[in-house]
Amino acid sequence: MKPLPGEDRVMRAFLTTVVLACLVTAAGAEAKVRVISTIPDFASIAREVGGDLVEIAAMVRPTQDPHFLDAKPSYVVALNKADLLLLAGMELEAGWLPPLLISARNPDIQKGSTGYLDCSTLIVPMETGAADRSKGDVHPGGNPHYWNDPRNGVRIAKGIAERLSALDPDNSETYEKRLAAFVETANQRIADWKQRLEPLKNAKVVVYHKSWVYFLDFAGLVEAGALEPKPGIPPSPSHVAELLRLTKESNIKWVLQESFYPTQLAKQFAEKSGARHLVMPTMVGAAKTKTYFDVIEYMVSELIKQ
Amino acid sequence: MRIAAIRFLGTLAHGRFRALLLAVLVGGAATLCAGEGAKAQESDSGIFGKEILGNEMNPSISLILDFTAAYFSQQDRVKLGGHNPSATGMELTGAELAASANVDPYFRFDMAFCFGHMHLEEFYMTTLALPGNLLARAGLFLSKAGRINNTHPHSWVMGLGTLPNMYLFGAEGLGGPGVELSWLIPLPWFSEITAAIQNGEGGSFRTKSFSKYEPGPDDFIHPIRLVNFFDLDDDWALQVGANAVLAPSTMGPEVGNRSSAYGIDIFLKYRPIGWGSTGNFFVSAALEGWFREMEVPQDVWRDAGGYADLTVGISKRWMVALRGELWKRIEGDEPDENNRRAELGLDSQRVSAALLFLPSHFSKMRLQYTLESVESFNLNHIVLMQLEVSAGSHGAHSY
Repeated sequence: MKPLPGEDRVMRAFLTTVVLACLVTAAGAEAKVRVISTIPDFASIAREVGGDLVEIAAMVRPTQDPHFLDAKPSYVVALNKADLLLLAGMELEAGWLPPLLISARNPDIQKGSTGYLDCSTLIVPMETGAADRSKGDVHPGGNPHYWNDPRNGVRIAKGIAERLSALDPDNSETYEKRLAAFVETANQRIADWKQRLEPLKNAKVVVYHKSWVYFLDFAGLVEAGALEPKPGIPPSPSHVAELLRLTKESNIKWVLQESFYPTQLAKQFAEKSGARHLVMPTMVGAAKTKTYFDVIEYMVSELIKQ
Repeated sequence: MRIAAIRFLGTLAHGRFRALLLAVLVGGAATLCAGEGAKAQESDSGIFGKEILGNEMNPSISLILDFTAAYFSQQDRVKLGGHNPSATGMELTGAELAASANVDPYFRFDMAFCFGHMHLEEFYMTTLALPGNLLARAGLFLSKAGRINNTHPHSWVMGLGTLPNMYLFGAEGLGGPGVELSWLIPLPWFSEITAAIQNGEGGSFRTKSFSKYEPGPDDFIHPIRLVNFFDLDDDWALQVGANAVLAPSTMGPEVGNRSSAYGIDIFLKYRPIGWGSTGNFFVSAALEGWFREMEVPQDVWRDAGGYADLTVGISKRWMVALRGELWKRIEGDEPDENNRRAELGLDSQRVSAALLFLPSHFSKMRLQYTLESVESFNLNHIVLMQLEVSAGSHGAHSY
């Protein structure tokens, strides 16, 4: 039973490597809490709450559709080292996050651990109810695009602060102070945005994808229709024509969409309906936004422009 | 001292101690993680609000259907087997029930049952909490050998398995009951090494029947894979893999015949995700090549081959793909009706082109043309029309 040439060397090299790995001492705890977020907005909020006490990274790029990331192995390296994972939940990341979490080999951030924070547990979801794929790419737990309502931003910040305090109790006082500062700023900004949006109350919008429900609820605007006939199904010229017919008397003010959707049919709808076509950032880092508040400010400023 | 230690470890890895050492490592690490090594903690979910739960404690279950209408211009051709269409006509090339769930903080299970062939394709547990960046699987699973072997057909871009994979690992793919250990190497980039010890058969490899013989470590199948992944920038990604499969030969394992295969795979993807990019457009190129040495009665066969893919995502719903395949006999018996060359490696070339339409993320239609040239057979034209659908909650696929 003599092995073929080379077999023994390959097997010996592998097993030697594994045994040495097991003998390597785990790295000592570092001072900063390592936070990894799926959505950059959670990362931005965590940065506000954590300050210098946290190291933050986000997996989704701000101009990327968060439903459809490639489950790149490079994310495993960051997940492996993380102390806290922030995710949107409601199956927004179901298409790419689960195999990464398994490969991360990090029990601290598995579901049910203190290091796993599903931010959807911190807000009141909209559009819940029985889900069936015949209705398109719907999410059973509710509409997952909740972070663009700044009131939810406050709730998320509170949840992140509590979780950071649980992971890093020695600095809980600092997290509380920073949270208080964030909430105070947020409340001031929310009051300012509400005031500026008041003249637009009940104005009607058409959206590309049904990802605006929370922001529209905050802004007091009404969603009159969606270019996607069903969530996740690309719009067709015939559906756009039908939508135009249905909304003819509705005085649509804006057509809203993210940058990662095609613009052609949205532009056509806007031209024919007399609406303004707005391609807006919905995640921190897009359109030169630097903070969570910058994104909301961008959206509000664009809406109130004449 | 260090050199002596490495020599000692190398000696331990030789011969009959190989399997024992692997088993001790996995068993010991699993014991550790079930005790003090585990850091999984319960969350205070009452403080943070209530998750919207469905049947949270049930496994995620999905059903996958692959339906194929195929045309082969030649009745007399190399037999494909596995999940490939077998003849001109219509058939279910895949009917899979998949289930997965976390068992507890330490393990998860995954299962795939194939209704079409009425056999369990995979059923294994994976650890969630091993220390030292380790991860183990145990059960029945497809081996990590190259990019394709451990994937399921509904995740393929093309509608046919590659001929090189069939010659190397068999039409169903290389796999079997066993144990696998992988280590995430602590480097700034993703680097993972995986090795398994498995019982079973596939293509060039077969463990002998243990009803008559007491097995030693060399009697099992040992797939080994090292993969490195690099984010070149936000839009470009590169993955490079090195593979080895060491096992008894499918021909004469009882008399100590051996097979070994060594392979390299490269995957490069461009997917722009900047402002204004939908992320639907992408271009990916994959290249996988193998060298195989297989002892057969009174001879040694040496062969080499592989495939190259080019896939373009045109829009959210449309993709096109091209594939070229090559297998070359280098040394060994000429094909004849008394040996298994037709099954295990004839000089072969194939080119394929496919057009895919994805009505949604959960359904796929494919029109494929393949031109196949295999020695001893006439040129074969293959046309496939396929529909794949997935219902339920199916786990995400790896990159």
